[in-house]
Amino acid sequence: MDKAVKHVVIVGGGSAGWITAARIAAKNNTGSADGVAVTLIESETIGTIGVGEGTWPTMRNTLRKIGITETEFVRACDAAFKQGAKFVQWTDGTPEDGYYHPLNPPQGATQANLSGYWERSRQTHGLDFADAVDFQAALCEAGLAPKSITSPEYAGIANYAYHLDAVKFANLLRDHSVSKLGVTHIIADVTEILQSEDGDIASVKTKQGHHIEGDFFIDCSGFAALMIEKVYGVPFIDCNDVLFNDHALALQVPYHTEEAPIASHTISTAQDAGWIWDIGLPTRRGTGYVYSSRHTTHDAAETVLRRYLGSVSDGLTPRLIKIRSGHRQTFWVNNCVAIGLSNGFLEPLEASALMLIETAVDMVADRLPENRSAMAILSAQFNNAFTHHWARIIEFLKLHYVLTKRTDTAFWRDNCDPATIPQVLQDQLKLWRHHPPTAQDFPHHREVFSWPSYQYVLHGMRFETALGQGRTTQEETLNGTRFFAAAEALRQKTLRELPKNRDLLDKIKAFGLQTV
Amino acid sequence: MSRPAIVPLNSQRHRNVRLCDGIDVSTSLAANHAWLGLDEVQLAVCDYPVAFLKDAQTGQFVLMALFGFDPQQNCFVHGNSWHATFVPRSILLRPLALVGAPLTLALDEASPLVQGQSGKRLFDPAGLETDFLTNIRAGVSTMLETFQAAHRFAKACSAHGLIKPLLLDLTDIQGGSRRIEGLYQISQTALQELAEADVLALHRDGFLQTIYAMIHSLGQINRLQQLSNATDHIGIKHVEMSLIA
Repeated sequence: MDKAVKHVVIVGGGSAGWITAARIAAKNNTGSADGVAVTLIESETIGTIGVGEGTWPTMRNTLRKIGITETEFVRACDAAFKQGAKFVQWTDGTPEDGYYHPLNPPQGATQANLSGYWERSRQTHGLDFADAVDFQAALCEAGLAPKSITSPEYAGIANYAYHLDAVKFANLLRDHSVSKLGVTHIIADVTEILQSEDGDIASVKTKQGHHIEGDFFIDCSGFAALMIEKVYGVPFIDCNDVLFNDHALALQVPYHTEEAPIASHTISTAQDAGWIWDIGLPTRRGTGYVYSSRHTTHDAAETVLRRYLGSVSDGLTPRLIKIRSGHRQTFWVNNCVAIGLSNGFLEPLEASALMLIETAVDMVADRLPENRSAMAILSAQFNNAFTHHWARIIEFLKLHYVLTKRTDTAFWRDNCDPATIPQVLQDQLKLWRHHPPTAQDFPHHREVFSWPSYQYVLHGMRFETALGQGRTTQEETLNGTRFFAAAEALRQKTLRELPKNRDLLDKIKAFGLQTV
Repeated sequence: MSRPAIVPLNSQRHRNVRLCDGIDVSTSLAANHAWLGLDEVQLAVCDYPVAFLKDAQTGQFVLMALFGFDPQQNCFVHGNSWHATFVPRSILLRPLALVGAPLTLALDEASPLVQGQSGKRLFDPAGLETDFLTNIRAGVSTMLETFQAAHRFAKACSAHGLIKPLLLDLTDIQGGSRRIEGLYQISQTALQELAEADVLALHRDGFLQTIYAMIHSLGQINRLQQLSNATDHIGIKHVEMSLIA
């Protein structure tokens, strides 16, 4: 009765499908006779969305677990290093308005919370929070890489993630999964999904005549949500009332010259009715305007995007993408789990799409259910975790909007309407006026955005606190002096020693990185 | 304006330069290590610790002999002479050196070996290369071939996962301590775990003897410590070597 899980069937390719296939296969001996079989079915006719082009540092571990070298990855995916994000004109919209959310935690983050000391000593040092507590913002500003050609694979001097070409990334994962990890790849259109009496999915049929049986089904079919919605009818929880952006105009643009610098951070520039992303790859920039159609028109949005890009956008046509912000009410039903866009999607403000795929895959691949009865418990864990993650991510994205001092357009004014702010976030903001964010505010054992991220955004956007009036203890002064000095020393050293982002990428293509 | 000391060879600029015999121990080219060709390892290990380091320009492993612990320290130079049974080719080439990309033969114009009116000419009065320089160039191309062989050796070791970071932790007699990073060595553990076919392939390629010579050369770290302590450097009490698995 308790059926062993011997065959995992993934419906849908793209980044979600192939990360899932590769991680499960690499972890569960798929290439060998006693391993778990993995089959991925994808349609040739449905293209990938291909806008998830920013990763988190977690991607380094994911790639390592899959068995792809960093050299191979950089060469195959037109990838570049990403050290965080710069938010331009989010706070007051003036030309000099901008702050960094670097990927490095503040110096000494495991030992001290530097918010209070920073506020109280601002008059003396005059530094932005990110510059006071860490050195990475300076690297971004100087266009430097987070590592050098002598750094080993996946190791950095500063913490880092990637910008990548999502289509090339899916191709690399596919080739690796099929040739090295033993994943079976079927190109076909799923026409029918068959259930057994207990409601489990038993098999899928394709237009091309396949009939594929499986024990565990993973819905990576994107917005189509072939299983989680079409079979199980799980409702979609829309969060458009909190996050207003519902469209994006995406456009890939060339550099002016082949040697143009590659920014080593995502640049997010606030606009009248949303914001523009700007992601530097070695061969092109990926850009797009994410906006609220309640606050602007598509034509006006295109004008804004073209004005931002200047002449490089001449003769190019942006692609209109509809964003349905939200997530499923539940994610794992019976023997079927949704990963990727079928699970949920939000505007790409903090590059959460690929990270959420990795988070889901970590749970599914590292503890692939041994048998059907284990799924009851594992699915409850998964559903609890994702319910939690979506709520926290929505709050964290909303944080970027509610801290604005902009009142110039309805978009920004509406974003600060308390009726659109989740209660948890409202409560936290009250708390954080007097107590800086700490780990205590985020009790989940694996929190997607940890307290230092909140620090960077709150202080970056000049959130008013009462911390400046508090007393400074001797310990705070000692820690503050010590860690600010550490940040300054590392800034001097790394600015001197690290190469330009493009120069390092060129060298990796020419020589490769060593494994040690 | 001070002139750069190391200048690419030029028949106009260097027409009247004369080069004396001897080993150039001047400071312009001084470093605490020198690259080795593959065929030099067996001889070099009689005097020096031999390890890998990463070429700062390419990140590729190169073979090198270590002469001292501090960046400019050379424990084998006393006064104007080099006390060792074997001196690497790249040192013997001095005051000529290969610089830049692509590698170009250059001269350290500040070297004491090129200051006088004695010695052999590099160019004749008409600006043509002398036989002396032609022979040097032949030696340089041999040296580059042995660097290439060293590169193939390092690639093979790296592909088999044999190369690991080597840390040197130095404690001095005043109680100070420092760590020297950036060196890499063959891991005996990794070597022992190699599959038989891989060991045989390394042997057939002539790499196995070099591997063992390198492992044994780590004993020379203690000699380096003794030599360093014989100079006016702050005495080193202890050197802890650790290979990061």
